[in-house]
Amino acid sequence: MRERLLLVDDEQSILTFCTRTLLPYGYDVRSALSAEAALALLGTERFDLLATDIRMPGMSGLELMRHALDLRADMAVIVITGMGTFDVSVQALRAGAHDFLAKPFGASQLLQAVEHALQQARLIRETARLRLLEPLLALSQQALYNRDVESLSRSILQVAIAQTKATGAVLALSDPGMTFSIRLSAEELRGCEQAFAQSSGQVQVWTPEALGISDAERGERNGTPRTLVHAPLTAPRGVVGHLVISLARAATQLDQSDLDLVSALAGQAAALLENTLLMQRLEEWNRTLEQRVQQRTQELEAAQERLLRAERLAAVGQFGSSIAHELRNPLGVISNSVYYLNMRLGDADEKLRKHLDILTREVQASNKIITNLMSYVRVGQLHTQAIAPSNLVMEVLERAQIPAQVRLVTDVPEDLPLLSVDRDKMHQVLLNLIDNAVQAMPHGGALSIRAYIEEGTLCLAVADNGEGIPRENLERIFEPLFSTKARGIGLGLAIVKMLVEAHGGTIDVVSQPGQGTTFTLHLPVCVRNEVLQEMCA
Amino acid sequence: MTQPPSPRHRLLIVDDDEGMRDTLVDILESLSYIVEQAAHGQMALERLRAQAFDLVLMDVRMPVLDGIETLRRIRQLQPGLPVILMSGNTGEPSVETVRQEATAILAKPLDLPKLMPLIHAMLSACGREE
Repeated sequence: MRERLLLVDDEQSILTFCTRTLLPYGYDVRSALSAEAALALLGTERFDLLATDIRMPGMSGLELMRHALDLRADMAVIVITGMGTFDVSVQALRAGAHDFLAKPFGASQLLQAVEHALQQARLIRETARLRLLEPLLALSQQALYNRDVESLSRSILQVAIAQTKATGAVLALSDPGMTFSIRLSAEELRGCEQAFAQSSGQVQVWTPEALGISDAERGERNGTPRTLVHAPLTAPRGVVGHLVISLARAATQLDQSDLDLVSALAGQAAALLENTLLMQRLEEWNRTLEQRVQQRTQELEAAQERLLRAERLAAVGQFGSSIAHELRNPLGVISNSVYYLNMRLGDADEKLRKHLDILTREVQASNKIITNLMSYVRVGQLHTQAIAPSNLVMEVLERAQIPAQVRLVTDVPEDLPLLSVDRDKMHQVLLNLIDNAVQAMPHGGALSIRAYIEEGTLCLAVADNGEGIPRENLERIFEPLFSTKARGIGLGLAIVKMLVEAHGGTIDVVSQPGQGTTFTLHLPVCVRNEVLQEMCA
Repeated sequence: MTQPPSPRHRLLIVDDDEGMRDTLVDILESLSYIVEQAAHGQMALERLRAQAFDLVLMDVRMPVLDGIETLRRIRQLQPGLPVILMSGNTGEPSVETVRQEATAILAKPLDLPKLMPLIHAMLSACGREE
């Protein structure tokens, strides 16, 4: 970019000489015949160098220089002095001028002074830029070791305020939605949000008025002007947030280097925050991934165990079932024989009678085991029919063997809705539960069978007041091959559960050790159509 | 149930298990029935062609000719003959196919205290018809 020079002298000949000398060297040269005219130009245009005569009518060169440096601190300044004004030159140098030219001067002196002053101004700018690197480096280091977005954001704000001599600043992140601010009033923050909304993607300078911030709210004191500089935080994926700094300077007093500074800060802030957020998310993702892997592994192990168990049980079941099949015929024959003996030995003595009874009882017990073993392998087809719960219970009680020391209590109202169940299978279910209840009361007790409606399902509860089931066994009693009985292979309740579930029902158990156990079946009741069909059939 | 039916009814037991046949024969004979036996369906059909029976008690699973097929053939010969099927698996689909043809289907193991009155009732019913 061509460097822009502003020459100020009340003598046109000097201006002409200087312009002609400098133009061939590629400088963009403007000139003014008075300090006032120069100041007007400085207010509207950017210049890299000001060369001004000291003694002029009206505003002096020294005063012009001060105004110029106020507007832009890194501007190069050369003062031009007449004869015998050495003191003034020293004064000018002290006030910030980079070089001076004593009249009369030649072309080479002019060129040398301009080059020298520009060089100095460049050095000053570079130094300022380098000085910014230090806090930015510190920020980067912090971001490397600290994954906390909030503390990083606050550090960025502090650096921004320190570097731009701001009165306050705000940093807003869009995702996650977070806003951090330092020394800004509520109204200023609201104004900043307007600035975010109207973001052009570039650094923008706002007056408080343009953002609807009133004088009182922005705390203007002694007529100090205010300006808000807004820079979007731009990351590769787009605008990820906004940085606004509030300056105690008028917009016209800001130069490109101020905006560059804010822009550089915003760029750095975007990169650091984005990295921190990504790292945070990565860590988070890692954690959840680890958890998921663990969870899936556990699920997989459990599934594998279930599968193994199911396979083992199926194998045991198959084996058991074939044995049961083989045993059923000989047992049937024994049963027939016992029946025959009973028929023929009606007048047998007591001892013989007792043994016939033992045979009968044991054959029945064996038949139960065989039936259970065989039903474990397959539930088989259900032949459902509509049955009144009271009839079902009555039929079962006819078949059940309830010892004399067990008192039977039934509460099965006759007007309950009909059940749609497989009669034989439901007999098996209830007989198994009654058997269990009886066995839980070796010294007698009360067996209760109740039926009632609860939440639209028919409940059949079989309860005993026997020894109860220890808590640690309660979860396992429906598992196949789990048994705590001296006699029993642990299929009874597994089959009960299987059959109840095949009917679309559920079973639950409540037990208090020492007080008894209640098994409750929840069975779907017959819907009206089914009842009608059954009745018509 | 132990009262002797009169005139004496002739029963055919069809089962491949010899023990089952023997015990059923003894029980039914002691109830004054005349009882014949066959080890499979083919043999049963031969007996039925040779002689008149009042009731057949037949197993489902048998070698040579099973109870299902035998029942179908019996129905062609004597539609009105009471035939009680005995099945270890009453839910078996093949048993379902002859539910209409069978006079009764009983589950194994047999519940003899129920079977005996059933036989008696069937024979009395047929007797009245005759």
